Amino acid sequence: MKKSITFVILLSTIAIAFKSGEQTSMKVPSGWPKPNYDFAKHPLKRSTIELGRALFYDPILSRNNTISCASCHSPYNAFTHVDHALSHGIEDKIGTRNSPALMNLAWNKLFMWDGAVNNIEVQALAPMHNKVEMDETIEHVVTKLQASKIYPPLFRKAFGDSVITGENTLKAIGQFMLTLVSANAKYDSVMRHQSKFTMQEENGYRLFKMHCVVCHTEPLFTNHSFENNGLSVDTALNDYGRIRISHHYNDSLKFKVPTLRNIEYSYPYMHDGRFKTLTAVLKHYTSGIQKSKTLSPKLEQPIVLSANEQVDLTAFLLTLSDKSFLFNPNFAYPKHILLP
Amino acid sequence: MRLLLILFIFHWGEAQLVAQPTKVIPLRFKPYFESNSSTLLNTTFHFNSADSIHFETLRFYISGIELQNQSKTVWKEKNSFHLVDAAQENSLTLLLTIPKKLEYNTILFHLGIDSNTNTAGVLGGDLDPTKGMYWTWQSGYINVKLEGKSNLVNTTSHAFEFHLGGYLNPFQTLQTITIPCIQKEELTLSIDLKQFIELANLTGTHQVMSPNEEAVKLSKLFANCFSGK
Repeated sequence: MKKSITFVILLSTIAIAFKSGEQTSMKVPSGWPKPNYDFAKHPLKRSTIELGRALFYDPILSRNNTISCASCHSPYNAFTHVDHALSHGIEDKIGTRNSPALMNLAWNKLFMWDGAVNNIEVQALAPMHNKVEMDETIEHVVTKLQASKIYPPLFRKAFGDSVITGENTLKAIGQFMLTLVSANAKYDSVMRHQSKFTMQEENGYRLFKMHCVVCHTEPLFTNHSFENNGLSVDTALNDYGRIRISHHYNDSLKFKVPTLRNIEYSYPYMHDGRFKTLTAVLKHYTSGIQKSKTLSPKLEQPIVLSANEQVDLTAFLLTLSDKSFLFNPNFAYPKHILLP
Repeated sequence: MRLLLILFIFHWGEAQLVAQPTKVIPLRFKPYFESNSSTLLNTTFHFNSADSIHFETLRFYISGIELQNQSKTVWKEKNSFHLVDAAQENSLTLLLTIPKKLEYNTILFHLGIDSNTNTAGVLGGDLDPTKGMYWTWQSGYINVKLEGKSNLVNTTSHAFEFHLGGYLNPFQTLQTITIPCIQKEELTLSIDLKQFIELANLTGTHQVMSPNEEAVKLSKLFANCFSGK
């Protein structure tokens, strides 16, 4: 009898240890604020992240199975869509905005350029249902996933049930996106006293702290607010940003302040991708600001930067590139699942 | 080992004795345009001598159900979120498990989904986004979906489409409904859609698809159509 009790205890200990191996945690980089996402309430799980990764790269999420999340959020481009000012989705249809770069999303309070989405777990619904992005429905995605060979076992592993729901599908995509943390750029190693800026980068950092840091606040390089940064209205798009969601007149022409991390790879820039280069961006901030009632007060006075200073500032911005993020094998196409 | 088993059985038995006996009372929702018509959807109703209407969709969320006695809460349903769909007969009746000897004289519930739930991420059951009651272009539940056709709508299709929702001020659309009730074996709440249509002014507004002033106004009108009659 005693032997059998010991055996049962031993077995359950192994089971618990195995189960806890499934749990994984979000390591907050040193000096970073507490994430906005509640990991204590919704802990990360390896099998859920892996499922989310498969879904992120699988065009099954689109109506005609041609467009995946990664189509507009490619890992090698800081999870955005390069070369196109306005991202193109299903059947090459063009939207009205440039796809945002995806990283450090656990710290975001709101998502999309206008903050239309309030939680990362429901974010994927927006592109999935958008007529010019994936033109699909979550109901039909669930039906397709249930009928596939690969997904029911993956859902069983992740959620203990091979019956697929919208809730679990979206949760898995959200968990994968939460793991996309970029915190290992040269800037970070300088902050950790592991390397040093060049003189040019050092001067660029000084200028950055003088002119940019109020909105592009360290260490995330965004203050997560919505600002009018003085762009003229594109009369073909007539996009007035956050006002569409908040209905507050004060929010007219305001868009989310994007992170500057990996900016070297996330061109073109601005919500409508109107600037192809960092040089064009700096030209806007030094001589292209359009004044209007909702213009950010920080941009009321023109930013004065000499040609040399602009080069130095750019050199600093390039220290925000994180190759260990861009080429992280855990974030790449899951060939072992989708192409076994 | 045996001792453990005996102790377990003893405690379980004790727990059963302590637990209050319960009963199940059905809470029925009865949406109607004409009180003598048994079906609401896809039936053409004629009214005001020259007008007609038919409804294609009626779906709404009921949440936070509680029973009160003399204005004090005496029972609250746990995890109280229900999608009621006029096209799904089963969904029109909710089963409330309440203590057998509970005394109450009022039922209180919300029409719609509260702000905290709207920002809690993705949820399951009746709140799963596959239920078609979640906006996708922006976050938030649609509290009430009412669709149909009427000659009162001055368009070629004569279609009206009300997707009422919004959880943020100034367009908070959640409504709290309080209805006096007597203790019976079942509770029935009627929803008078004729009253709603007459006050909604379909000629002026036939499409509400996002949180705005109209959504707030129509949510209030819809909530006023519930009664214990």
